[in-house]
Amino acid sequence: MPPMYIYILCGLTAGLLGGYLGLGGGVIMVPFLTIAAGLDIKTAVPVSVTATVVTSIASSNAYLKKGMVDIEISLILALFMVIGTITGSTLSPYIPSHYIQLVLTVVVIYTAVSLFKKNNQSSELNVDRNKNIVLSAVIAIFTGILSGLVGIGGGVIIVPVLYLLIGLPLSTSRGTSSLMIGFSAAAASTVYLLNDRIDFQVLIGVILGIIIGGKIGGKLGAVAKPKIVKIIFFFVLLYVAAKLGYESIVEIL
Amino acid sequence: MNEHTFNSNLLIKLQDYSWYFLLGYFFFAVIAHLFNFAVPFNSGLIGVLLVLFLTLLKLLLIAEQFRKIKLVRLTYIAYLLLFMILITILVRSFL
Repeated sequence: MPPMYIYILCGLTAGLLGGYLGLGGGVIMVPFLTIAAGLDIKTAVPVSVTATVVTSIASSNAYLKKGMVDIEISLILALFMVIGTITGSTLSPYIPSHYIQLVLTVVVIYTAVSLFKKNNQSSELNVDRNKNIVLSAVIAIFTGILSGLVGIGGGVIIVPVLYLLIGLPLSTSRGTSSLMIGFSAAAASTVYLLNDRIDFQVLIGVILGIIIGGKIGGKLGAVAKPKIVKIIFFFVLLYVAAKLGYESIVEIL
Repeated sequence: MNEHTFNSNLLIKLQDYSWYFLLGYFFFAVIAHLFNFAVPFNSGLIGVLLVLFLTLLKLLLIAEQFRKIKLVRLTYIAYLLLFMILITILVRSFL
């Protein structure tokens, strides 16, 4: 088993990059724990979802202080997301690791591409919120399933949903997503805890790292976002996706 | 939502204190692990339980804030979310 500092470092890196680039951290942490620490994805996922709950505390608070959280939408969609995460984390033991790894590969590629989407921070789209709420709820359930299975928070999917379908401004979408992710990740963590699937030794190191890293990353992100960091991170994610994808396809074949 | 009447200050305070508390707790847990201190409980398990407890407390606070400003529908949604997590614990514990 790798020493404790590796876990702290994984959490610290995920927190730093997640806070800096505005990502949840799960999409960074699970690949790091599987590639850098050599853990099986089924050990990394429960640790990641529990760490996501902690990340949500700090990130949602930063948005709450600026009044950028729609608590009503957050609660409504969290209900559906919780249904999804409970389903995903319950199904997880029955799905072979390499299939979960393949799903994660797709999520990592999607995250890498979404780093370069053009965002208009202040604009509010003119959409019919009531008309789109059912579709948003369905997407929230599927995001929850994905979150429970591969250990991501789900912000990378939920933020566009809140922005494009619900019509919240982008910054409010991020704040709202960060609050609801905490609730859904808590439900997934509960299932993993009761199934005895959480490795506590890994967990304490990762959470300590992500608490510190997330705070520093958030402060750095508020100061500047040089494009070069995004470009480097884009290629890191592509490398991670290639490695995870290759390993899982070899296993499947 | 009636954004002007929902007082988010309590929620912000709760999350601020939670963050410092969890930082202190997990720092202690890592130090205890690194130096092999004899801790009479599973520090990782207690850590997860603390994280979950703080989430439930957050939901309870949101529900009560909505109840206070008489937004009944949102109060019910917050309680429903809270009970969904609690029911998961009960169902998974006894089935």
